[in-house]
Amino acid sequence: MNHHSQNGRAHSRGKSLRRVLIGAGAFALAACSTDLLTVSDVDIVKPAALSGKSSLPSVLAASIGDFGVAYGGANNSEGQNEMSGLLADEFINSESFPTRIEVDQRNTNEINATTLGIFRAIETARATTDAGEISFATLDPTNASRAEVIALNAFTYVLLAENYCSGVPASTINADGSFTYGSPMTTAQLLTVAVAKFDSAITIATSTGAGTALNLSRIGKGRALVDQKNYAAAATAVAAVPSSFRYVINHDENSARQNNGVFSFAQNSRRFSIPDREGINGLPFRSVGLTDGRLAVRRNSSSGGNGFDNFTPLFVSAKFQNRSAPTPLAEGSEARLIEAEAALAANDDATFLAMLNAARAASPTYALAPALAPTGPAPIVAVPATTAAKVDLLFQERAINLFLTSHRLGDLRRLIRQYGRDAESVFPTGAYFKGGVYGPDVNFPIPFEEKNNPNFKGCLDRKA
Amino acid sequence: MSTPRLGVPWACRRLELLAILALCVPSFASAQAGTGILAGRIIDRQSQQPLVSAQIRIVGTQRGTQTDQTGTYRITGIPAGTISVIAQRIGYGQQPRTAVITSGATTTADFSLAISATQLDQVVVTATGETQRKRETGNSTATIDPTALPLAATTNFSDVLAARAPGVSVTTSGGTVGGGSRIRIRGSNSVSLSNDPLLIVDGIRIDNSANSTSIGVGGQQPSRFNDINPDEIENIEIIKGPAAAALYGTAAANGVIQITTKKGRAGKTRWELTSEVGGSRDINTYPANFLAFGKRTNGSFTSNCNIDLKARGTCTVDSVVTNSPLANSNPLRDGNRRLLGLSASGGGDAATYFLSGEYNQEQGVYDINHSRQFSLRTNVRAQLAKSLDAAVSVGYTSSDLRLPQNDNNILGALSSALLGLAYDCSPKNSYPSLCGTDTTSRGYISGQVPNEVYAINTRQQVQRFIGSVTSNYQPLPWLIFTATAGADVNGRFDNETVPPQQVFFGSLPEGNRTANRAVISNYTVNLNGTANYQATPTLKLSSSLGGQYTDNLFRRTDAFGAKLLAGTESLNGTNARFAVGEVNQDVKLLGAYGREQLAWRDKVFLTAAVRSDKNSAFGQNFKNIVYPAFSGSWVIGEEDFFPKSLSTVSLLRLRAAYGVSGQNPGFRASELFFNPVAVNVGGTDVPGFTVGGPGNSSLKPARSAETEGGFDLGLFKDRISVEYTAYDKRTTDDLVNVVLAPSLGAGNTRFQNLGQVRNYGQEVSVRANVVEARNVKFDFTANGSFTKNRLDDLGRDGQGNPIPQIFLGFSSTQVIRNFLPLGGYFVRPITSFSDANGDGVISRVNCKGQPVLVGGPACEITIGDTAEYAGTPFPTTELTFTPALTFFDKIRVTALLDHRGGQKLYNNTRAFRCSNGGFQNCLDAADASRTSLPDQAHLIAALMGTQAGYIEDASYTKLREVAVTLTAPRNVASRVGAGSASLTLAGRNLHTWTKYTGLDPEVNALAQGNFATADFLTQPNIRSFTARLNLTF
Repeated sequence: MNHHSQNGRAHSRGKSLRRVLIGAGAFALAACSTDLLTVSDVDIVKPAALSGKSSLPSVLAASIGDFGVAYGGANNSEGQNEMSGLLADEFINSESFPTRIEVDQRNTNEINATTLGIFRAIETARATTDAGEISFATLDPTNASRAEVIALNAFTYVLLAENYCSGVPASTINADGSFTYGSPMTTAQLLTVAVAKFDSAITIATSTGAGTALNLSRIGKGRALVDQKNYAAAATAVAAVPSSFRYVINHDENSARQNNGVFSFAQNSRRFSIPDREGINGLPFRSVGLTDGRLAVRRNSSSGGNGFDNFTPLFVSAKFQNRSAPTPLAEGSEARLIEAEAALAANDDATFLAMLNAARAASPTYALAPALAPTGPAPIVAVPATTAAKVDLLFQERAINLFLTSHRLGDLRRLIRQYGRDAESVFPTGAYFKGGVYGPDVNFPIPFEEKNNPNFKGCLDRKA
Repeated sequence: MSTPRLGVPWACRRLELLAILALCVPSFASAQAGTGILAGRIIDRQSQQPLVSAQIRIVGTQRGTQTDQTGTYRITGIPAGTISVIAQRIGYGQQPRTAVITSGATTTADFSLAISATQLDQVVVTATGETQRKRETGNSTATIDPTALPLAATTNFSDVLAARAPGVSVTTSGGTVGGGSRIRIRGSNSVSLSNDPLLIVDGIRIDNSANSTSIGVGGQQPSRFNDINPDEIENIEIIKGPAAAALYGTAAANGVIQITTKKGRAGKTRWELTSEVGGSRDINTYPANFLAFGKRTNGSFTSNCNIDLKARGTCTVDSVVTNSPLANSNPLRDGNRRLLGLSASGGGDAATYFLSGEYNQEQGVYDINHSRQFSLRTNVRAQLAKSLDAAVSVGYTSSDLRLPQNDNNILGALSSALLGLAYDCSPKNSYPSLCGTDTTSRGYISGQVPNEVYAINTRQQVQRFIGSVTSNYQPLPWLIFTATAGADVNGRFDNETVPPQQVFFGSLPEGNRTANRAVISNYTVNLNGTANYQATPTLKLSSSLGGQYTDNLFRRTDAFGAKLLAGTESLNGTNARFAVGEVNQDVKLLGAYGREQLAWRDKVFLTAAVRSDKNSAFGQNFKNIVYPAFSGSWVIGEEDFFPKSLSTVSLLRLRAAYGVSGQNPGFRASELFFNPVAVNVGGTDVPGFTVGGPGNSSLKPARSAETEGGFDLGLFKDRISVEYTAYDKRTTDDLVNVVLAPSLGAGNTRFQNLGQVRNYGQEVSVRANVVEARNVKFDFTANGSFTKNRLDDLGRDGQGNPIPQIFLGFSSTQVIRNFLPLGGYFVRPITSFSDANGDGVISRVNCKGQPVLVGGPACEITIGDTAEYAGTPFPTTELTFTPALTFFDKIRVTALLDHRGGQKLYNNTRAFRCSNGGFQNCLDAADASRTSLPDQAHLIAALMGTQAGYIEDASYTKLREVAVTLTAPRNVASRVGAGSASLTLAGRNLHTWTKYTGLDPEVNALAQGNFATADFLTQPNIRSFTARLNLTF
């Protein structure tokens, strides 16, 4: 019995051991399998899901969305609009972040994290619209939205040319994940690319009957030609644009990414305030805006009326009164201003005056106080006598009509480049109100991180 | 990544494994037939007092137990026959003996252990799940026994680890209750991946996330390390690097912290009641705000005629005003701590158990900073058959943490005060022209006093379950299988309510609610088989084969709404700007290993091992990785040839080890993808997408190879022990999150296997029993570690160009750069300064690129044109001294002195207050007559563009703990019906010696970040005192 029991236990033990060995073997086999390592990823979109014609509405949305963030900013990221205004005289800094103070002070370091963010955003918009154009051209070349995507793509080149130093690269990520690095393009080269793209957009918009894209492209082309000092061609390009035309980047309360950047950072976060004659040379936006409905400036009512730093008076514009306020990209009034500049160049005072007033009439206006109706400016009665005064008038009208639409920095640079003025007579200069003095910047440096592009060594020049 | 084949859900895969495990559990009958019991008592040889928590184990098995409060132990279900047992305890030499077990009877075996400073025969748990004596391993493993520590002096698990083991660096990030600590073992291995050690509890991997929250409060963030209740821990082993951690596989390159929770002991039920009360206090003297009022050159008033503006001739000073918002409306209060715990342990022949429950709450020095934690643990071990046992370990933690706004947050109490006004805008204020309509801010820059801002309710609730089952099956005397399966499931609820019309900043007046619910799950299955073979009378071989499967799942759903209805604290009360989102991540690992050990005469041990891993996060072009390991240990002091003339040397062991381990990339790092976003097109919101990540399909794990060598030395009959280890750890193929050229428009970064990082250093530990008189004992432990970290190469791009340096930290003061320590401070230096004109002011006028003042002084300060290395934020030298004095075995006084040297800290609090254009409210800026020339130079240099003056020496020595434990005589304890009673009085953070000019050199406003380190308006560590009563019944 005892012997039998021992045999039984031994048998049982052997059986168990076999089971263990089978288990270990099964585990080893499992280790050879990849099934156990299969995971799913449900939160994102892979390129394959965007390869069909049905994806084109999303491609258009991606193009508009990325452009909107890069241009108008969002709840958590500034755009070209706010930061170029800060470098110019549209905004002063009313908070404490060194990265934005140094932009306001015209002394931006190439390792500035804020300017890195806005450069990434505009290059992302460029890349997204580049890819969007390829998608439309490949999947549905006659799609009416194709021209809009190309126009937005061209606008990214305009913004890069107007706001950055010379030497901006445009690189590409390829379908296989590899990179093709771009070489630095001069400001002139960027504008040449922009004009060509606008021409392409105009051709396609005309053939597909995309009227909005057509006028958007015409204004864009006119803007780029003005940047090239080709005023007559610019006027020709925009001549057919009705004064009532308006293309805006829509913002929305729906998600933080869709919020209006100027509202988010000026009014909500109290980082930027509208100044009066910033650094001696700045325009009196605050004073003019108290009576001119195109600016509609008022002291912010909350937090003692001061900015985030609790001492800089905070003035905001009704133009960007909430998260959903749209940011104009191209308007009929800009077309008229381009025509006015061409008239100025041609010494045609009558047309110059007419176009300035047409622009005034076409410019949207906003209420000076919550209870009041929007108030537009009266027409200009007479043209100043001197050329310099005419230039001043033109650029003041541009500054007010195109307020906080990322035109002002480019205009200040044009005053230097095209009208022979000295940087220290157009940009804020002298003692900086938060200590120190203004620096020499007339544009943004390309961030240090671009040196990860082997073709890039630094700005080709920092000139206007 | 792809969807599961044939649509079989992932859960089924897990079931497959569980089925495999089930095969391992044999049928058994007559489980307890032919077994007996071993019982006895273990005492201190000299004092004859019982030894608590002494270990006793049966050689060649996984069986063992610990003594209870009376020093007794009992092991049941031992097969009849002769067995070898070993008794041991930390601080004592081991004592082996044989015992004859008779079926159905109890065999008595008592032990009398002698004090010994050496730990050579201490048992550690290996990666295979087996136990091994330290002498058998060729690497250094640190052991912390929390039961021997004055836990009253600690508030969380990080405190238990801090300054206990050489090479293990634990740095708190501030004095906020619930804030985590940065934990590094032998330096930082990776430029971009986590450098936190792997955390294992009872054999399974658990979530060790640093900065574990989705709602920021400006700086301080919780760490999952602190979910662990120190009172539940029996033992902590720290495996320091790849030389020892190779078999732990991918994710173990940063070292492993292995926790064993308390187990039951056979015998009658033993109850233990723990009660703790304590208080804490902020002992800091915060600086007031200063401004120099004066006149500009045109005669107008200026409220900021600081030393720079004055030197430049732009103003003259009329008066210096000062104000301390913290004094006007002080948000600080005394904190407190309460703890109540009850545990029961015991068991019989078939099973032992340990049950515990503990509630603790801690109130910080702000009203709204508090935590409550409730933990339960049930550990049961059963001898299912002669050859089979199973242990179930189940822990549950429920916690509720409320964090204050602080650090880099204008709404923080310290932030708002230290950046605040130099005048008090109360109704009685003297500066109506400056305060305007403000009569309530009291100088706080946020415009509100903290008690109003603190209406913001930021919380984290955690419900965490950690459970595992471990079974040992020994079908044959030479063959043993160990299986462990378990899960760590953490339900984390991050939420915040901002009530309407209470906080007046941005859109906060409209109120909002954030509710982010996450479930973080870690599943682990380990299988191991070990065969032992006595090849010759002196040669023993041990062979192990095993495998591991882990699945790390992260699921989170986020929700937000604004415009909150007053009185509600739920999304139900919100009415605008609704936002939702999800995060779903999954990383799986499958590994297999083999290990062969050769033991010759129990003096020479050689081990070779190899592990191979696959991981779902590897790129599709990479299949698996192999981690080899080798180690050798030679107890040369026991050799016959060892000179007996060296009578002072009672023990000498030489050891060396080499091993490789790795770190896997994060989820989705290998994929090219886009993120979905909403876009308004023509007035309508439609689905769009934006760039996500560029992916890298060739990703493979970062690979860290470590070589270490050292010796263990026993002197004067083991009264003194010395452990010395030198190591050299090199990481290659480090996963660098390379910053992408922005012109790609393809995301910010992409992981690439590029970097080479080196950590090397030395560790020494000295334990000495200095006095061993009958009524007085004095012993101490002194640890030292000397760590060097260096980035050997950041790598090159596809065209062979070096990857540019990476800037990080506040004001980009830190850098990842070749040949420097990771995260080293890197700024333009102040090359010279002097008060050339003797006016008592350092001026920058007429310096290169600075304001010109005709007729002004010559340049008095120069700064370098290029940035230079300015020091590492990590200590390079860590020394701890832990003396203990014991009287009559009843009174024990311990202390912990902690020195950390070689590190720098960016004092951004001072830099920001003094030099930021928006504030400049520090004394340095306002009054040169009360500011030293170097301090003036630091400020002026900051205005010139370098923070060099604020990168300060942050070396310090802290009297970290002092504790007095009074153990009541048995007759006294019995008067309250207890078997034993002890009372510990402890203090923490008692004194700091440092040259650092900020409030505390041991803070970080960037919490547990990999490298970014700065003091920025951070709550310093607080001083606390605690009384803890332990009663056993």
